[in-house]
Amino acid sequence: MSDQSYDASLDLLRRLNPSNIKANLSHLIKLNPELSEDLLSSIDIPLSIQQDSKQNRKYLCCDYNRDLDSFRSPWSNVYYPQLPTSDEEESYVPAGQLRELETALNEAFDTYRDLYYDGGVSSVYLWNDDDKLESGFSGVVLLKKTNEEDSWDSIHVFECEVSGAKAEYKLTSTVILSLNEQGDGVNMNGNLVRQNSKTAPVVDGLTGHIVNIGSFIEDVESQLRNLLQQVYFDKNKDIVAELRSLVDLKKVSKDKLKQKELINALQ
Amino acid sequence: MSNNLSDIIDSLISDSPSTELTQVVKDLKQISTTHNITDDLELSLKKHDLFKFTPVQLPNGTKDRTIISKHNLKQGWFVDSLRGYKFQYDHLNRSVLQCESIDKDDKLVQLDAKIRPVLESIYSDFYYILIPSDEEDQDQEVRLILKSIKLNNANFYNGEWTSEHLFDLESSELLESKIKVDAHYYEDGNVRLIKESELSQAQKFSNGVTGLFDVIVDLENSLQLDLNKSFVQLNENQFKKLRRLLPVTRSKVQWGKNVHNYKLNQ
Repeated sequence: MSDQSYDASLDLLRRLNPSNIKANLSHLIKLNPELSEDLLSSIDIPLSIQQDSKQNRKYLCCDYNRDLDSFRSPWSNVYYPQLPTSDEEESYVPAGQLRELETALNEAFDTYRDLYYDGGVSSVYLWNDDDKLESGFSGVVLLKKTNEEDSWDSIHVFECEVSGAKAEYKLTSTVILSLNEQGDGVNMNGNLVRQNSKTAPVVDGLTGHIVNIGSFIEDVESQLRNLLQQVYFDKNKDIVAELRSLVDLKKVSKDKLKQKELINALQ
Repeated sequence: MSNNLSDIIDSLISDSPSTELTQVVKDLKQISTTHNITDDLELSLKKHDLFKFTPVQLPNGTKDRTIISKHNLKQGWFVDSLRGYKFQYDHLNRSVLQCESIDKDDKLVQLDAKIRPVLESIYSDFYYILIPSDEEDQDQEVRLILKSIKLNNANFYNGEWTSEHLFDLESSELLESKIKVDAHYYEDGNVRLIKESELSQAQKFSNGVTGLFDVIVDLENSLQLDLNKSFVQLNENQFKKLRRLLPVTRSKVQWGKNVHNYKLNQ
């Protein structure tokens, strides 16, 4: 029964206006509180930004760096706002090789952000059970750019399985894109999700993962950008043209008939 | 909870694409396992039908297409005096309950003979209704409500164009126009386009129904052309400002140890 409710929620959230995703998500949880955990961890909402006061740097928040109402900063590896002492001991903080890779990925994606987004904020979070790389790890790469009424949020969640000198990366990428004209202009809001996987050799340990994860996400994000462009501008334009014709439909069907007759005559 | 629950249902229904309400209702019933939401759903759906209008196919011999709205609701019956029917509607189950014949309004029938060919030349799959004003001092006013629908669930998209035009043929004025375009694409995602626009000032026309439709078609054409222009501009300006296709360096990132050299070089 609960599975049915969950599937119905996913179906519903695919239909409701994506610009109200946050409110709609909380409405659904009020309707059925049992869905709360599953929905909060599987539905992507636009990322919020917090300030790391130690490093004086902005970072992004999602369910993966959250503990209670606090979010871990990738820059100082500290939760803001500070957790109560009893909870702080239990909260997740990566260390060792894993934190080393996390730090390096954050620097690398900060450069990537600068090159592609010319502004915005990026954050990378990694997690596993033993802080070592050879046992595999999971992570999320987040990017956000806001410009006036418009915004782009990238959420790339991945799993890395290491076997010998090779690693397999399974990636789920979501881009939430919101474009709005002022006044009674056009509002286009939404998201596209794509799943991909890639296996590659890990050359030079930590650097190998940066190269593999970096180039993989760069490629997938560029593909998603093309898809978004097609759906937001071309597909939408086509749908509107199917709803209302700027040329006389009677003339269109007459022309089609003529064309058909001509083809028949030639055969 | 009851009051709060009805607000939630109301907000979810009003946020749904009108073309997908049947599925939305089914989903909501499956989600809400502990509360009985039937009454709230019925109220919200009724509100939707009255204020956002709903296309309906009559279960009469001709399967006439019409529209229900707050404007043609009279004592619990939806009245279509162009086609000569009145009927009751089950908002929850989205179906016509009872349908009875009434006298046709000859003036509307004559008007329709001129209007219908124009509509057929613009929309391929549409529902519409002509509703005469029932206010005594404004008995020359007629309201046209039209919905053009495109359902393509096989390819994960649906769209709806809604036009509402209030005009007075005696005084030759188009008094009010509201147009809404709503498109939904949902293959591996959920993308929604919404554009709403309203005529702010009454417009004079000459030459009767022909002149009226010159004004209406011009108005809708310019809205559609504006929308097409917006697609180009949003693509060329705002979309590019969020994320580039390629970095400023015009080549892909060289990932590795020296990735932050980019910054040093800038």
